[in-house]
Amino acid sequence: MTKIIVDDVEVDVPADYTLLQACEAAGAEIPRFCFHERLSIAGNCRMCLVELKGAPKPVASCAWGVRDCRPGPNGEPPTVVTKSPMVKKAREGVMEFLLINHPLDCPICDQGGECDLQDQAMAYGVDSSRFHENKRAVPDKYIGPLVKTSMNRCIHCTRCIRFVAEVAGVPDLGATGRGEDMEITTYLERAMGSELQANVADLCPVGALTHKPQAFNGRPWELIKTPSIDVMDAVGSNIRVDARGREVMRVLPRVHEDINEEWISDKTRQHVDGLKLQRLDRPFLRENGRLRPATWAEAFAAIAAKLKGADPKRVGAIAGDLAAVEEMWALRSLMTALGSPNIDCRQDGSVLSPAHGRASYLFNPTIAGIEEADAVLIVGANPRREAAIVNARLRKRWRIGPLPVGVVGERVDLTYDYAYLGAGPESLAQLAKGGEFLDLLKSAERPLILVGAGIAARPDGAAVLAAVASLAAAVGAVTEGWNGLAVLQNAASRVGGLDIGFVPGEGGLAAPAMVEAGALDVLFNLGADEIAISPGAFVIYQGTHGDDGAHRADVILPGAAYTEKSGTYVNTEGRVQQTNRAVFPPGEAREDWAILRALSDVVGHRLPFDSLPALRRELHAAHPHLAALDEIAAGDGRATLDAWAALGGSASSAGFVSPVADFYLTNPIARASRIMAECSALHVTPALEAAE
Amino acid sequence: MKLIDFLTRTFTWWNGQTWGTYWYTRRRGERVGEDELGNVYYRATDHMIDPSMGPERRWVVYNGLADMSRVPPSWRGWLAHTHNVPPSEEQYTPREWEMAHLPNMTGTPEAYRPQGSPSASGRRPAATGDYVPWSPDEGAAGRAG
Ligand code: SF4
Ligand code: FES
Repeated sequence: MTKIIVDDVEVDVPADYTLLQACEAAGAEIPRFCFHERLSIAGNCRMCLVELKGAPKPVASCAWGVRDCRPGPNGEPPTVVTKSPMVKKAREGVMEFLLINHPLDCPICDQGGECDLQDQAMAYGVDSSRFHENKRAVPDKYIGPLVKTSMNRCIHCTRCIRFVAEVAGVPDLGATGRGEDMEITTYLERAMGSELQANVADLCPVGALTHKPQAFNGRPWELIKTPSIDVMDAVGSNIRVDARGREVMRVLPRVHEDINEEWISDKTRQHVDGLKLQRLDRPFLRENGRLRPATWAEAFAAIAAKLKGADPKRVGAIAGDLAAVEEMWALRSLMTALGSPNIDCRQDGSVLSPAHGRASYLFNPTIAGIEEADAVLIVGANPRREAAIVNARLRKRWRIGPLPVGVVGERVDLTYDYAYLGAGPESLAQLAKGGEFLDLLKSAERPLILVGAGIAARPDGAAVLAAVASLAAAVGAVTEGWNGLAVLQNAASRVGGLDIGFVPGEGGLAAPAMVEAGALDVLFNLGADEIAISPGAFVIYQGTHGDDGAHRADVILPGAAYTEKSGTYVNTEGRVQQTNRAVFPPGEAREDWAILRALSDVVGHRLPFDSLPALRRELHAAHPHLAALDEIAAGDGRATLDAWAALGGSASSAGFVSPVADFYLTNPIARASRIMAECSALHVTPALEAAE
Repeated sequence: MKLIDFLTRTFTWWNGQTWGTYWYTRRRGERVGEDELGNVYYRATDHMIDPSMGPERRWVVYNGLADMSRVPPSWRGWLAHTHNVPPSEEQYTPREWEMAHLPNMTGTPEAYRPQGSPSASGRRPAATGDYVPWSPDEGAAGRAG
């Protein structure tokens, strides 16, 4: 720790702090454009100038280390002044230079109201310009469907370049020219090829990069901001839903150091137009082979009539990927009341099960824990597509220091170097026999074995899990204080569903068996759109979008999307989080738990809760860990390894394939979105490029 | 004179003229001209000769509803003493781009509706909160198009 005096306040900060951080620690606010906590230091905007006693000129505090400061003549700590007239004058000078070429188009600029330059010009701007030449003009660039450019406004902070190169890990954005001729551009007007690209528009301190889909659509001050949780993947990124009236206008990231830091994936951000397309806004009933709009009473009556004489063994329920814990709990209670053991939340047919312990389906090392891992083996996953934020963490760890990464599965560009160990279970067995990478894993103190949820959904899933378990045991992935077994889920609802035991009961059928022809008479489909249901059964579909599930349904009950209800979601780490209602569901759609509660009354098994708090009370009594928001209840890693090892079976030789074939179209909301469709068309098969 | 005209002239001021105007026009009014709507313009004969008595009195007797916006601009200029030559004595050919005078239509079905007004197009323009409901005849989301 080093002592330093900032504006007469003495603070004790680590020596590797920069002056800017030290000043913040002392409570002084430093204006900045180019500095960003999560990016490397560029020091090119000069807005952060401070006066350092003894230095001949003002110094850029973001690029000056505390340890580089000279002590005073009598050995007193170095002194920094942030409020002197000299500092003010220096910053005003910088601001004047920046504004020379910055257009005065705030009234038509989408950044207006949340613009760093606007804000700081309030403090350091001068009211007139001494510049009488013409402003420079820069052509706008095409850099993809998500980010709109207005390059006259660029102040060359290079945050966008640093983000794309460092965090996203693609070489797509750069600067050409020097001095006045500097321009930010992609190579030959190509779209950026990253699933984190839209973050650059958040980073851009001015309006040079803005969100294209939201262009000219709203002003920040007219939006109602609701903190919420993302459900596009199983990461549970913290987001802020900005709504105007009844419409979700945009989604922005919220900082959560342990999950998404401050990035979100493009799907998380730009699926929002899907929330207002293809919506189910009224119940439908199939009559004479055609669906027709119906009232709630008619829909419920039709369901009650079907359930009346039905054999409970021939009634089943499947929960989809976007279902919140509350409605799964309500549905589970209803099925229990009906006497049916056929429930499943794993529409992909996965063998991951709460029977193997909670640790068997969690990302046990946690996302933040990735930074502590010292060797990584990725088995049958493409984290870049299945959980872009987790992949960014892996890349972050890889950049911090040497990190051996091995991949068994598809050979794709993960944005970091890895040793390719093979495609399928055979390579896994090969790896377990010995070799260079096995030694690396063995010698690692905290090896991390990232297991894609997709491998458990293979027909030979049990055998593969057994192989992973024996490998993990062999390399010591599960020790006291470190559980390196990381199951990467790809559905937001999955961990929650497994937590509450939304899996087949005694003698119950799993999802793939339920959808077979002739297996069931009545199937309740809670938003499962990625599973094909054979003809025969009477299907009740409860969901938000007219996707495959709705087409196959005999009764459609319109539910609420995640922005329209308060729901609990458990992310792949096992972290319990809650969404909040930002807008109301459209038309006659209702919150899902309430639909199930109302239905239970009609079918004669009234559920014992009348309100969401009552439901949660019951849920929390049965599963206390769901009451602890933002906490992870760890599972027992060793028990999991034993349970998996006992699974046995023989593995096929087919290579592992990521279950996420198209990053942009994984769920009904994203499939309804036009912007996601556009992105998907651009990046269907991300080119196999050598990692950096 | 029909009974209804008698009654409106007696009890209302907004239909044509009142009895007071009628008598004054008969005694002192000199007819100057008539516009295309049938409104008739008069001037008083009292102090026509002597401007020192104040400006000459000019008035209009409406043909129908007494609505000031029914006076065309040319006659209005004369009524308000903007110019002294009444349009009936002036040879003026309107330019081709000059539109015929239209009284204020506010409150009538022909009232002006700004572009974008639902009453102008008969359709509600897109607004925040609109959504596209699904209908069973469409393809599945994202796969339709
Ligand atoms: S585009 Fe924005 S983020 Fe990129 S250099 Fe210019 S001002 Fe900085
Ligand atoms: S913030 Fe220090 S130079 Fe830009």
